[in-house]
Amino acid sequence: MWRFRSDLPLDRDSTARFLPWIIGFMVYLAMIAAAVALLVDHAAGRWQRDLSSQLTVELPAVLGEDSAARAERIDGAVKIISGADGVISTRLLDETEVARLLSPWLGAAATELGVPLPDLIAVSLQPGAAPDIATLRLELLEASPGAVVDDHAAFNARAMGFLRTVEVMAVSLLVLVLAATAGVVAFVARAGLSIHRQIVEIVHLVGARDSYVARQFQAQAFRFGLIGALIGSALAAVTLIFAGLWSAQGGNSVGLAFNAFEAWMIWPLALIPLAAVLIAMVTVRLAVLGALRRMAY
Amino acid sequence: MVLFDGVTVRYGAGPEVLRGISFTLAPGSFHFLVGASGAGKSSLLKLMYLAMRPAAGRVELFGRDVSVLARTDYPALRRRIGVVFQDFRLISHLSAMDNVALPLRIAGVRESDIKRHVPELLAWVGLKQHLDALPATLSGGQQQRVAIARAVISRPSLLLADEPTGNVDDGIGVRLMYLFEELNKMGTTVVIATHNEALVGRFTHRQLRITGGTVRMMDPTAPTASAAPSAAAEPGMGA
Repeated sequence: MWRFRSDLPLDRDSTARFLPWIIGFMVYLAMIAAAVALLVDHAAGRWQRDLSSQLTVELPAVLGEDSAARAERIDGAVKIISGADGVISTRLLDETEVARLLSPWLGAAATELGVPLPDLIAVSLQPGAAPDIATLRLELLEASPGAVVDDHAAFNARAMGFLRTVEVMAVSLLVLVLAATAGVVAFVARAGLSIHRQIVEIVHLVGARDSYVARQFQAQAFRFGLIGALIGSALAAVTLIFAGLWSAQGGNSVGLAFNAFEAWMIWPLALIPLAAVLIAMVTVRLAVLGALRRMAY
Repeated sequence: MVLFDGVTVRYGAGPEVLRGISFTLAPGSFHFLVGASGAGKSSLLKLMYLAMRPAAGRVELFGRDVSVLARTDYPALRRRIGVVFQDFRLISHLSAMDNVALPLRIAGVRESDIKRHVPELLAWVGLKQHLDALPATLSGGQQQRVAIARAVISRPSLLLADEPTGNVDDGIGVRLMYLFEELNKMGTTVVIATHNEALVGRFTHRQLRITGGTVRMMDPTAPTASAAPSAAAEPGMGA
């Protein structure tokens, strides 16, 4: 495949034989890490947008209150909420929805326990709206004692912190994998230089510059890097396709993240095999030129 | 072309192999470098093809003091020097054609020119039928001729040959010497290292004789052969 004329029989080196597979594996890992980073970043952004455009208002039940007074209290609260800046709509959750939300704590039969359930109002905000939550809280407390306004800030911060950690880990893994690729390629190049020291000496003695020798190693790195990049890309594509199919069939929460894969993500991912080839070539050039400078002639 | 001034050679912390060597080789001259095995002929040649530096003294090639040259300056000088190594140093996985083409490819000569000149030269040294042969499939004499062809393909200004007739019979040895003389006539400065006194005796070229770590310049054509240590070869006298 893409045979180059070379004065050095680099392809016959036992150390270089597995280089395309090693690069392929590294490219695969790097692409999966990058895909995870992209998906998490995308999911985090979407999640943040969704949560920041919603409020939940909880109106605790008042013991002994009749239904008319309850309805009046709720109407008053809804009016106050609707008058706040950036509010698009409000929706009072029915008892079934409230029971479902409380089921982790009260069990499936929450409505049959006779426990007074709070009223919950889901509030939709305009994108980018920043209502004065403190004022809203005070006004609601007057209209409905014990009213709580949850802007999801604490949960949002914790969730974002987790997602950003996952993202940083994925990016770190990507950087480590590419650095490891560079290390392996440099090692193989130095080994090749050592194996073919006598031939390198001959080409030097007939007038070759260090760059002439380095070009031969670079050509090999390009070829092996390209083969490795194709192997790694193909495996990563298969993995991502299967992960997408799995998530589409209702896989677990990790699998669901892959459902968020979008077509534009292919382009940043496609840069990784290209980067791997470039890194291999540059690393080999630097490693070989460095080693040649230390040679006697 | 070549100037040695008080040159001393030693390997590592070992004893001096050569000491106080001084001579000049004029452009277009032809010299035999004669001495017993181990006398230091190869070491002297190594200094000339920039494979080592002197422990002391000054070596000038083409008017440049090599002891102060940067490593990056070596390739340009080496391209003006053709070397026939004692052990040939052919690249085993390259064909005779590619071995001979090596200096041209390194110099960036076009492939079309390489494909024209290299077969011509290989035919000239009698290897027309062996263009694609790998060195391992060639006899010692054939390998030697490939090595000679590689050394002369780029028409070097200075040709250095270390025992170039060591692996061939006397007949081929003499023919190879005529090849070197032809190159010399075209202006190449030639230095042939050999311990074959019989071969040297057939020619009248000047001799650099190494004995006891010193060099004496001898001119066989002089009425009484001169034998001054570290003598100078005068321009135009060698060929």
